[in-house]
Amino acid sequence: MEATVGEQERILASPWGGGTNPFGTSWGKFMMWVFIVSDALTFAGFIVAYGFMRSVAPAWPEPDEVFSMGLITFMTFALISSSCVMAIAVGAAQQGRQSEAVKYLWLTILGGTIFLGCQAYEWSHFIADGYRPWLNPVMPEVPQFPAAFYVMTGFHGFHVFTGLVLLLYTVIRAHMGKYTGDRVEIAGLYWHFIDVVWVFIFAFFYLL
Amino acid sequence: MSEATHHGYATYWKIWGWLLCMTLLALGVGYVDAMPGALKALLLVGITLAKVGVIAAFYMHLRSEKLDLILITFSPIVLALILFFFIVPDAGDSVGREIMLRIGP
Repeated sequence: MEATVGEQERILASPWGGGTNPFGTSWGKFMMWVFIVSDALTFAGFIVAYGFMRSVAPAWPEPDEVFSMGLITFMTFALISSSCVMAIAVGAAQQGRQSEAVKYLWLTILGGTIFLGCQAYEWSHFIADGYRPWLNPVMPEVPQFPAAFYVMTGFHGFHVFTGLVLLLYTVIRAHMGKYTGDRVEIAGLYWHFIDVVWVFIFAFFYLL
Repeated sequence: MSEATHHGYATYWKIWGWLLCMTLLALGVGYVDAMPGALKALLLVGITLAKVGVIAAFYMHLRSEKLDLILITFSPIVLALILFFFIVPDAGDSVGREIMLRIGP
């Protein structure tokens, strides 16, 4: 019997036995990382599919002839800046300065809202120009171009929207003093992930 | 010294500056028409990975996480590369074009 107890203790003490915390994080933070990894695979699938479609296409439109690169650069600026203030909000929350965290969380929400507003503007113009999924009025031989655009920026935009909902919930809870360090950091991880996805879309879809 | 510097936020602003610089660099690379496509792609992939690495390390605090967690977060990039090099060779032959015709309108 004693040997069994000893054995159990040995297993629980090992990093992979379930007794100690193998990743050294809280369960909530680790779950967010697991979600981010699986979500990253979704976007990886999109980007690889886009790469395939593009290499099969007989031609591809010049991005700066279709989109306003000034607007795209401004959107990138807004998202990167919101990521920066989100990092500061997490830092403030971790150090227990709750009101400062709330302030920076609102700034993050502002950055995200600006981004989403610009994207809505970009989409409305793209739709008004007659682009439909699998219908390209300017270069009919590449119908996959608008399809890739709508799917990639649409999924990303939906993530920004979800992130804004999560941030709104977080800022309200933080304002009530219910969400402190770790909870703010979990919301922050998701927000930074949205920024990471945009970095890929910006480079591969708009610049390449 | 500003209040922000006192609280140790200076690093975040510094990273922000670096990210903006890299974004401008990527824009510059994107606008050079004379550059060969392969070189442009390579440079853009490099800048993108550098930006992602900086965001993950400093904003997502991966640099202070355990190595196990860091390795897990890199798995999607490895899997994406495997996926890419498995399907893109098909793009060059008739199979790829056939697929595109079938999923088209």
